[in-house]
Amino acid sequence: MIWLATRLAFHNRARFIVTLLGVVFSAYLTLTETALYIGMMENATSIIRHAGADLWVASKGVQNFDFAKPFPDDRAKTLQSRAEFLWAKPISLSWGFLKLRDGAQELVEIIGYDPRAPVGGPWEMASGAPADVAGGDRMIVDESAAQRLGELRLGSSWEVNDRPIKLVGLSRGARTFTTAPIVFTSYDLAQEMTPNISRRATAAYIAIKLRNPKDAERVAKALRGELKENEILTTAAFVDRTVLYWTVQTGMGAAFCLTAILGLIVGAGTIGQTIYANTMEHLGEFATLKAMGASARDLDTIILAQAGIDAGLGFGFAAPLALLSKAPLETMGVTLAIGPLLLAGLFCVTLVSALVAAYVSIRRVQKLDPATVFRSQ
Amino acid sequence: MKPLLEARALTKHYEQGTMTVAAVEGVSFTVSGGEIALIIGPSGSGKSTLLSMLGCILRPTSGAILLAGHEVSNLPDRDLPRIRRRCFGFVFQSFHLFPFLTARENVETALRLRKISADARRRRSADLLEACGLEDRMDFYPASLSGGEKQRVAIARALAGDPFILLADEPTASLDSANGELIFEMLRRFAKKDGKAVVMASHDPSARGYADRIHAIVDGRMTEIGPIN
Repeated sequence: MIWLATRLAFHNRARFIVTLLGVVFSAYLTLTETALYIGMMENATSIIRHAGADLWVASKGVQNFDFAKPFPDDRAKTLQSRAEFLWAKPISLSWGFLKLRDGAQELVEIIGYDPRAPVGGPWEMASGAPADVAGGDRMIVDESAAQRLGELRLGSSWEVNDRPIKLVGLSRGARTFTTAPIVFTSYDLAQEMTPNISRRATAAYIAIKLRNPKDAERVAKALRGELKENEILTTAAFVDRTVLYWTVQTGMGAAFCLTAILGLIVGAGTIGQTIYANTMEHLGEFATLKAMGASARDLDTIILAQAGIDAGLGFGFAAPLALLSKAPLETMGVTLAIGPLLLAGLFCVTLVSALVAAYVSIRRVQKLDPATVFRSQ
Repeated sequence: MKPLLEARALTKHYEQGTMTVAAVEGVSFTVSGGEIALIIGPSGSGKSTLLSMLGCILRPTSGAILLAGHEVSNLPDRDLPRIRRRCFGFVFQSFHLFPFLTARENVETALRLRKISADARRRRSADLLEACGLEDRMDFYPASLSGGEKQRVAIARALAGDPFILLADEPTASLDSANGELIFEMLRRFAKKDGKAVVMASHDPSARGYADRIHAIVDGRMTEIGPIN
């Protein structure tokens, strides 16, 4: 019966093309909105996920990675001596201004880390190494910042917070939710560049790597008893908290969710309306099929297969379009996180909404009296 | 000869507001293989309702329908499509061909419903269309066929599943007399040659010449006029 559904779907080509355009548009909208949201959340949590830490010591009430309240960094030294920790290193986070070639300034997020420890610094390098920031006024900038900062040539000199600083490396994939470029530098230099003297010798976080990562929950519980002025979070909990903050507390998640749902509704509505119009136009043929002995399952298959064809082809065009627009959008600083899981998941959602939209047509055909074929028309 | 199709005291009542309307009232009737039964009667007399009930499309209010001696009118709804698929071929006044399928594909639809293999479908549809004189029209869409050709495709489709009963409702009403004669001749050929039972409702006076028995139905009640000699 899928054969009959195919013939029925393609019979009226103009209607089919209009339907397809509607589904492509809505699937593209849903796909890009969801990918955009995931991309923003990936950016917001990129350092947390890639630092290699099992536990994070943060200030009380921390809500997301980018807005940290500093606390004295001597706690890191105390923690470093614990046998169950592989390492415990302070990470500083501050905001500063980087002077551009044309004299303009760009807001940057300055991450200070220990160049001797594999924590807090860039995790993937386009050129240079994370340890290159050691021993002086040196920085690593993410290659994605070139759009905002101009040409990022290794060895070039820049000014951050009015301090001359040399570019020694380019990281890859380190972005923030705010889209402000990340400047990685040594923890010591980051402290010196902090304009407020009272905030020096303070860390935004202490990243802890455990000898046995399976102990994370147990150790976190123990640390909470010791460091009462701090919040102790596992990496997963910190990611969840950051995502929750940007999604719920800023209302951004609701906005993205609404747009994605609207896309789905437009797509399902287009498919449902077209299939219903097609069904109404071919009620005589459905009645004939019923009279000829087509089972309810045969008839349902014809209608559902039409919905499946519309959804499948619509998504089939929308997905490559979204993939094609990924690179141009990313040059504008927008991250589209389109992976196989998202594609598969959204395809299923599109398909299910199309099948649900076909329900009205199914009910109409189920109620259709096949005896109408014996009445002259 | 044992009848292929038998109706016993078949009645169909419809509720219209507070009134009960009798569309068919106590009709008893049999038709055997190789026999053509013609049902005549004015418009609204109950011919189409009777055909719908005989074809297991419409459930009677009371009475029984037997196929080859087995009662089918008491079967649950879910079994009726299978009965229609296997036992009946339908020919309609308005042809009811699928406009988006070619003549061959229209015939094949009946075979697809019976899950016949692609090779067998192709052979059977070609044979039937050839037998209906449409070998050069197989790949034409209904819109490109004349009324007579459309009805011949519809007959080929009705016969595709090799049913043992053919129900034809005003099969020549939309045709000119020459095409009408051709259709009646085809129905007679299939009844006599293949031993199928044909029940035909028709206003066409020339239909009488092809019928073995004629039944008149007036206000839902039937009287037998034939047999014809």
